[in-house]
Amino acid sequence: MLASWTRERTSNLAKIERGCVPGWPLEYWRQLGPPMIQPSGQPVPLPALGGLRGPDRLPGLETGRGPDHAALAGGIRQDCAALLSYAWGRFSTAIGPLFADFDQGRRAPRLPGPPYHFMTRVIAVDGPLGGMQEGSTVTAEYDVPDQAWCFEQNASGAMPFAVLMEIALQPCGWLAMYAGSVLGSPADLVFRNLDGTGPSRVRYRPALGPCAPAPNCGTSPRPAE
Amino acid sequence: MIIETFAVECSVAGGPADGVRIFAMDTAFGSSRPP
Repeated sequence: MLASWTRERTSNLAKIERGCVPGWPLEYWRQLGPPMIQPSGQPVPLPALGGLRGPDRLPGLETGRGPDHAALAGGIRQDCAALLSYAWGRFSTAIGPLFADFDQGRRAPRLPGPPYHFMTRVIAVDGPLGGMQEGSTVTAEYDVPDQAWCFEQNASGAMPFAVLMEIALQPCGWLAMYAGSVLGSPADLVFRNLDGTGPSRVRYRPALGPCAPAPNCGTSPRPAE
Repeated sequence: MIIETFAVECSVAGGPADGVRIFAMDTAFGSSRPP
């Protein structure tokens, strides 16, 4: 909200004019940090989840993947900060100036913000930015924390299938944006997932660590919930 | 603590078509543990 204050000379009355201007919560929240992960069903204030101060990685993480591990797209390194911009920031800080029109109030599809944000970085992208080219490919990574609401809130302690699905779908949404699905459209577009199949062969639980899709890794043959 | 990193590869398998911006996406999963 932008407010201006003027005083009319004749009436000596104060007059306040108001108008809406675009704003992005990440512009403010990025001054906080380090970012938290919501460990349980108890909501964590969004600013605490969106803080960007501190290391690129969350505290205590030893993934060996520093900021340089992320790929460039639109001149922007697709790390934690850029991916949070897809949720709560300017599109131009997410994917570059080609998408600057969407900083002026136009709507475009966004990634969900934490705690439903399941992309940590993009490590490779192949295909032209905005090129709408079949065969364009992205490889994204998600660092799985050992304590997160999605494990704690599931009675079995396993990663819910809805989360597994998001881990796959959010990079698809990223790629659709990168390919330019919204560019050149006079209408504001949204995403709708129409159909798909996704077999789940193991239940992923943090206490078990990595499991190969084999019968003897300590998991039930039942699909993940 | 990070216990594992999931890698997801997505590719545009088809589209857009017929004036509707429909994309077909293929995805594949892999994973690795922190060193």
